[in-house]
Amino acid sequence: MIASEHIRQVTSAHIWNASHLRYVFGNRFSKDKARKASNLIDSLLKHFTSKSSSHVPKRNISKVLVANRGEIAIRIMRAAKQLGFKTVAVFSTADTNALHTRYADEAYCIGPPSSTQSYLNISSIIKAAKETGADAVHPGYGFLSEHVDFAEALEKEGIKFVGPNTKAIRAMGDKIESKRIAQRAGVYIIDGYIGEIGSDKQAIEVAKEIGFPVMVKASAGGGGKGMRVASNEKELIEAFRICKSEAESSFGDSRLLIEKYILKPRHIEIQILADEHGNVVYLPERECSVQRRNQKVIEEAPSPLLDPATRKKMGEQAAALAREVGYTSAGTVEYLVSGLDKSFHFLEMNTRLQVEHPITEAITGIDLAQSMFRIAAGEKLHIKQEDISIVGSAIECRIYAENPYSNFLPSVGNIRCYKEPTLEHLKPLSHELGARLTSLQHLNFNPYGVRVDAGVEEGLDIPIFYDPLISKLVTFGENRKDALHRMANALDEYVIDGDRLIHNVPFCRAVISNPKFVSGDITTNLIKEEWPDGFHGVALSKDQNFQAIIATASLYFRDTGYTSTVVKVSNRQEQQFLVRKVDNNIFGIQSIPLDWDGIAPESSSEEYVSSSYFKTTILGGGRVELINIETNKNLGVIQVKRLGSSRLDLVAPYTVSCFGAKFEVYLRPGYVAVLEKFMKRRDAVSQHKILKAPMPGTVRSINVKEKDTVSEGQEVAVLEAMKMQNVLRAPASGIVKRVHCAQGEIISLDQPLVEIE
Amino acid sequence: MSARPLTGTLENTFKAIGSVPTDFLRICIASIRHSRNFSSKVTVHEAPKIVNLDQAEKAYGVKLRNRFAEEYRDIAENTFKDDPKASARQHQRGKLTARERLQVLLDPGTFREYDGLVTHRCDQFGMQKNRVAGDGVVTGIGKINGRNVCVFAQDFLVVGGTLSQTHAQKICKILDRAVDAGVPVIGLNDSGGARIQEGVDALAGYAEVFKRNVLSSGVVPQISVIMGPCAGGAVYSPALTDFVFMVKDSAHMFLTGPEVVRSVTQEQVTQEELGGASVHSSRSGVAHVVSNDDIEALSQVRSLISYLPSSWKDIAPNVPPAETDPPTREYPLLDRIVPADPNAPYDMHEIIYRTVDSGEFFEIHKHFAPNVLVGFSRMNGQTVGIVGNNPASLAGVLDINASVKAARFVRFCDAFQIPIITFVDVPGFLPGTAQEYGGIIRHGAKLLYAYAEATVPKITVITRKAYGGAYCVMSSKQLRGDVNYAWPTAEVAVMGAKGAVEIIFRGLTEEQKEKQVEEYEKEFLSPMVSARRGYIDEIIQPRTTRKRICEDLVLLANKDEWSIREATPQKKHGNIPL
Repeated sequence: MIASEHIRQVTSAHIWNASHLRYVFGNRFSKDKARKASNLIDSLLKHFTSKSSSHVPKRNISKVLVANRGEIAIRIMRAAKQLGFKTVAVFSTADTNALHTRYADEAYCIGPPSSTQSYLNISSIIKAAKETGADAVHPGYGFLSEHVDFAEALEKEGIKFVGPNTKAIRAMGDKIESKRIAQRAGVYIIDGYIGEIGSDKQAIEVAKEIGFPVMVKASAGGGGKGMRVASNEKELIEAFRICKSEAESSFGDSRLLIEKYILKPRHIEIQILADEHGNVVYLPERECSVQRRNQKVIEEAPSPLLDPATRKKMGEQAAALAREVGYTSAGTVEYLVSGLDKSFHFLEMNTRLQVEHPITEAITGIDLAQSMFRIAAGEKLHIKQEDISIVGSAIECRIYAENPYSNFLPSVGNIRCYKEPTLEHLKPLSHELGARLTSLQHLNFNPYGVRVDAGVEEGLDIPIFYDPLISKLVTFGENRKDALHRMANALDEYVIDGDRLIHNVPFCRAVISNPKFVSGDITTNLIKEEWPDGFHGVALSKDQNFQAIIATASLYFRDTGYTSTVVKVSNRQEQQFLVRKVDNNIFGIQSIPLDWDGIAPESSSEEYVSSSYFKTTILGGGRVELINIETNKNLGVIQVKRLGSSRLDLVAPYTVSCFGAKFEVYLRPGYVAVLEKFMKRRDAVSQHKILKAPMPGTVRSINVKEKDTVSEGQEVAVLEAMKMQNVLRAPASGIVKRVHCAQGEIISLDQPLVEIE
Repeated sequence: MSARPLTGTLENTFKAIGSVPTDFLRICIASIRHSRNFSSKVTVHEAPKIVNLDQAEKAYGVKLRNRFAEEYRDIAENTFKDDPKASARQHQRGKLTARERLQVLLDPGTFREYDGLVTHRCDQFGMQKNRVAGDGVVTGIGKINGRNVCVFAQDFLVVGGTLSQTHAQKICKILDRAVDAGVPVIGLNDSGGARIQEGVDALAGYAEVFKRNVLSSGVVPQISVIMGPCAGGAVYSPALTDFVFMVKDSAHMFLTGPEVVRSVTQEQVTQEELGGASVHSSRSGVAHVVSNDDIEALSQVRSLISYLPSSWKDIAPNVPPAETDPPTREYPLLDRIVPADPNAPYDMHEIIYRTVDSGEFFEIHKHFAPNVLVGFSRMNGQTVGIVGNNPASLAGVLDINASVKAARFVRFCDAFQIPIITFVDVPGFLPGTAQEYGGIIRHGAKLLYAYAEATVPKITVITRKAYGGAYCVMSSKQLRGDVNYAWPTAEVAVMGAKGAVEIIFRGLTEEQKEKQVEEYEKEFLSPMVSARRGYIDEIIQPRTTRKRICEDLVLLANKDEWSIREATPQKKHGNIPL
């Protein structure tokens, strides 16, 4: 239970921390710095002490069930544990080994893999709560987090739903209703004429009223048809005519609407916290404009766009909306903001904890997950609006198991190698910020400003049944530039490797270093505009390329004892270099043709690279080496995956991941390279391949059907024999020509099962 | 023998360049031209040409010329290199010439050729007009990672690389040299077979080679790399050696070719189907390692040699583990790598990768009988042989092929003082008529024999199932196992609980049986029972496996086959059930 005693304990710990820090600062810094730090600590102290006097516990919570999985389940359980609650995890049979299942004090199986039968199964979760004696349920995000029936069902059982009241969930869940309430609360909604526009004259009148540019659209419209943007009267008249005829011909309905057109649209949202005693505060904004397939990928706080006045205005309106609807708990008001004039317009309100909440936590120091529990326990909000300030800048990348090279399709597979970034090769944060993070230990940032909320670990499978989010990677820095720098390094250092698993780290890395994104001048169309034909990897700068080459060459020299090698790099195009070690710290690189004949190029073409630092870490059972390297005074992190079986291999193929690029590198001595031209290049020849039963048994499942495309090594069928399940994999890539067996069929040795061509 | 094989750097070895083929030299020079201590000019001190030599000799009555020395210069320049026209023919087939192969295989500049001037002695069928120095095989010594090896490479461009009496003598000489010096021998086979023109002389030559292969077996490691045709009697030399490498597409091995097969059995079959690399690496088990091309094959041979001792009296070179991978490393993932469901498969490779130095595992017979894994790794720098049942394939059962594969590997390790680490997860022997008719009893006995006979350090880790006879076979304590560990997930019993209850309690109702199953599981399907009886030395936390094995290897470093308590009785030799 949240006993006042416990709170006092937590609080006093922080006070101790803070006073200790003040002591440290007092001694070590100039007066100015000390005063600055002192102010910071004072505001923190206020944050942590203001509550003790005013807090009136209404409800006892001692055990929390988290009705979710993956990283968010762990994030919430961490907060619950910090508050001294017992935790209960629920899991589907596909998640038996999952991390969240083991992180909790107790775990309860709620059903088969399909989420409708498990994580969306209200009765099963309530049964779990009752049987484990949980007195509160936190829904996380997604799944049942904004489900009125779930909240009501819990209420009926006398179990506290950690989230907003049902009235607020219901009101904000309805798009039209929420807009109406927003308008009532004085929140800006997108200007427009509510009703039919009869003539171009009327259109001009309306447009003048709401201001150009405007969007003319067919009221029956959709799919971009009958939609035109007009930025002056002349264009409007034309747009009106065209839209009318388009609407008539496309939908048989010529009614038109006019709405304010938001130029350079950006997605910015305001976090609010509201208690059951009518107190509401708003927290600084998060910018979530970088989206793909209408889903956020990269979020940051604060937004590079907003000024304090706009921020205040947006915040106050958000708070007003919360008051209007009688909101409780944490919530988020989403706005569409024009990058042109910072005008903002209400989109919707999310009545849950958002995925991207850590960035707000980082810049405000307020633990949102803990706050939700405190509010649920009936406490009064312990922060006042004037206590809230912005310190530094934070970025979050959502790391998904998805294929950025193929329209972000989800990917599944086993994580063979996993290591979270620590950024220990960078300078730690400044003393003030570092001390702040130390005092806010519960937010889980390390002294280098990196936090990873992950739901996976080495050896786990990414199941196909759920959202393929691997983790949230958050970095915090003094300012946006610093936070971005840390993020770029964290992405380079983040190792996620599996045989067939593909993830979006390279893509995130590409966005982080995209000049448009770095400038801060972004819109929700950033990805569409910057990568119009889709993402195809990153071309490295010369320095980066050389750094990657030196890293692999150093590895090769260390392992084989050679001092010169020919390196073939296949990133977007094939290049070949002659690399030699001039002395311990100097490498010579020369570009040579792909069909090199062994004649040394002009020595004048040789470039020298100094490498002053080289350190490797072996990961994932030895197949991945994470290399920290400094070349020409640039620090870099290079991931190298060894494809051969031995360190001593004469010809060493590696896969290199760095700076958002992933490519093959092939190293061998010069005298071997010149002979390669005689080797036959093996092209994948398509031919019939028949998968035969390796042993007699029963077909447990067949995972492909005719005309499916399969890749070599893909799971095709499961054969049960000797009471063991044997995964049968495709012998070759191709298309399934015929499936010769059915589920449950008993088959004999060498019986053909699946034919691939 | 140096303890660290990696002493020679490219520069150092180049400094010692003596008799290297000239185009090779050119390349070497190219790749290191800027090196500080290396003069870019190679000077050959030639005697000045004396114009009036004959005249002077006559006039002064003094012998001024050594005719042989002059002739030899000619020979040295023209003999030890490939004819470019002929080389092109070999290159068209995607193959390298014999000398180019040795260039890839050996450390640069270390090859020393023997018998380069040998020619055949056949004077019939026009052979007298076709005498080429070397007679179709290049033999000599060289170094791999600084360690000596003996090599021979058949040259397909000289009389089709066919084996004549003198060709065989050259090979025999190098095999003898290997045994005398105690260094491994590597043969690169690319030959049309026996030289028919020489008749029985060629056959006798083969027999001489086979005899030496047998006599050298267990004395020095013998490796064969099949890089072209290898048919008829010729196949038996590789078959007698320890490891056979094959190159895809270019290598073929069979006793009788497709034509003979067709005329005798009416069976239509291509060379590739009959004896290609994929057939021998996955179905017959003749080939231990299969490679995509010549360069890959030779690179792999180098890697394999790095794991092996030079002879039975030597120990394998120590390659210290990377600093970031100390022998004390623990791997928490191992604690949960075995699935809770006893019937769910997992890949034994993953356990091996995480236990050995830097995840390096040189797998032998990767595609043949994948239900058992064998190969070489290092632990704390020391070479170990790894044997593991792989539940990801056929549930990890032992069948005929798996037994034979593992047995031969265990015997190799025992012959060359390589400790054996065995990871056990075996549900038993594969049942069925195919197996019984095929003689699984005989073949399974080979593995049992090999394990029982082996006197090298034997460390066993039972990760999950060790059922029935297969428990006994897989390096059990009773077969002179040194250290036998079990993970907490281990189940050591005569059979699975259900099967056992079916037999013990025939006639009980299903419900009663279920109760008995539970009882049996409690009683036998845990490592506790075996641990209480001392059949298991210790139940260990999986994450500490590496640390413990490394410690045990130090403890057992001086284990000596003659002074162990259960020493092998004196005898001529045992009678393994072949």
